[in-house]
Amino acid sequence: MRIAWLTPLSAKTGISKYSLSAALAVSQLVGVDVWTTPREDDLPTSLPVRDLSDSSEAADLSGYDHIVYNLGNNPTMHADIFDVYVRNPGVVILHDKTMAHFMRVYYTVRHSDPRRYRDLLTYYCGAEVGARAYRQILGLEGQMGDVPLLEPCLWNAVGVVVHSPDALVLIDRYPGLVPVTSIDLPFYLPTNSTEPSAHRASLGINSNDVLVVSHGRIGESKRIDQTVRALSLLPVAARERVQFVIVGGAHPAAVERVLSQARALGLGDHVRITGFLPEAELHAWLRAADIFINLRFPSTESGSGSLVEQLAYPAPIVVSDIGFYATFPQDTLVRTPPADEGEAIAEALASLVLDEDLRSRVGEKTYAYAAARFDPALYAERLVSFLGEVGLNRERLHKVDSLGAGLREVESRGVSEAVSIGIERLQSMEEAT
Amino acid sequence: MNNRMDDISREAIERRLLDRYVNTVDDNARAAFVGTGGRASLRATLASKALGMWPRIKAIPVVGAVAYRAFTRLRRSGG
Repeated sequence: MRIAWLTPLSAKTGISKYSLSAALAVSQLVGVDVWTTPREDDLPTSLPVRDLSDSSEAADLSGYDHIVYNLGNNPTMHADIFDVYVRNPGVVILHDKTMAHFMRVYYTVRHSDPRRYRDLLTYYCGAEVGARAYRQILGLEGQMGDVPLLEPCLWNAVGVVVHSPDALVLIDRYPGLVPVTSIDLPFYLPTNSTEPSAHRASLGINSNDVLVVSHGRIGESKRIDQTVRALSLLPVAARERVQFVIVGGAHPAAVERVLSQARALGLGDHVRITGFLPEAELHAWLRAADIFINLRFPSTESGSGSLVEQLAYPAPIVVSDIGFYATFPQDTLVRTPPADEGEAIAEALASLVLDEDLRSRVGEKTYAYAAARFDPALYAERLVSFLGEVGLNRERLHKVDSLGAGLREVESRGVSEAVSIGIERLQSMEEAT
Repeated sequence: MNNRMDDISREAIERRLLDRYVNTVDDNARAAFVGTGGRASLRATLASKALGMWPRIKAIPVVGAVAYRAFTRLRRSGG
């Protein structure tokens, strides 16, 4: 079996790490070529890499048994992959539970085609949503609302993979006709990561400090404001020992907002934001962490790359009890109510900060659970098995999809009727055999 | 897994066919099918062209400033 694995490799998106880790694991079982648009900050890989932007090479995709598309809500990283997807059916790995931002930018900016964007929204979500979105992109008032718009990632999919069971209902649009599955993201560890203890001091962390780390790009759903508020609610003995470090970048205004909130709460010396860091430095912080914070509300990711990254280290993790996070056993991740404004986070943090034994117990238990669940070899086994299922389903999906090819010649008002006639013909052929 | 259709709902097949139709036909056929043709379609086409030309329009010093003021007024009036 040979697979074309379409993915970004840029270090600026977490999807690259997991996609690469997955591709490496899968390559132990079947042949894998990575197809990407080369960027300056691409992660290194020992797998063969082909240039997606080279149109002369694109024709070679026909020689693969499966084309696998890694799609996410970042147009900068995934528009080139989506361009190929609309021309070639394949297996879609969907990394986000919403593609609203991607679709808006893809159609209105990349293809300068707001009309198509509005019409697709109208078709999938109704006339009202289509009209609202249209006014929004023209710069007039209105918001599109909470529409995930995953459907355009499904019509040319021959199989769909997500990373948490709660995302399955969002993508099972053709039940029984297009196979879908949920497979946990695999661990990703950089090969050049460093030892923890030697680096705590160089990171500016004293031996008595309790280092609380949150990482990834700062966005509102990560609830950094609520975390800083929670720190201010800690008992004095805990508050004085905490160093909260956010390892990741953000818009300068967001950084300033967090830092000024910390200063206003008397936590100016206890909160730091590093900005975007290279992999080795990021993992130096993760290795040094005593506690991780990984909150999310609302939950928009299919899985959580940053959580899987933290799970590779034996520190306890305080999370929101929602989506992917809620799939863990009760005694592993330390859960807090998703909409908590700081009180429950503070309660969870206080006991962990003050009790080193508790940190070790919870951290080790979570680590052992995660090591079994997110083993890359397990991911590879499940994905290859799923691709086998997709292969077996291909013939009957082809029967349906080829029926649809003739619809393009039908007048628009007769399309629904032509579909009905086509399905009846298909079913009568089935009965005759 | 078998290759028969018995265990697949009519609704699933219908949805697949219509989704593929909407995503692969030309713009006019799509607009007619989803009911956004006619005047709405004309406005959309003009807006689409304006969006595409906007970088060139605003690059012209005097014309760009006038167009920008007109566009801002239009936005404020909600038109």
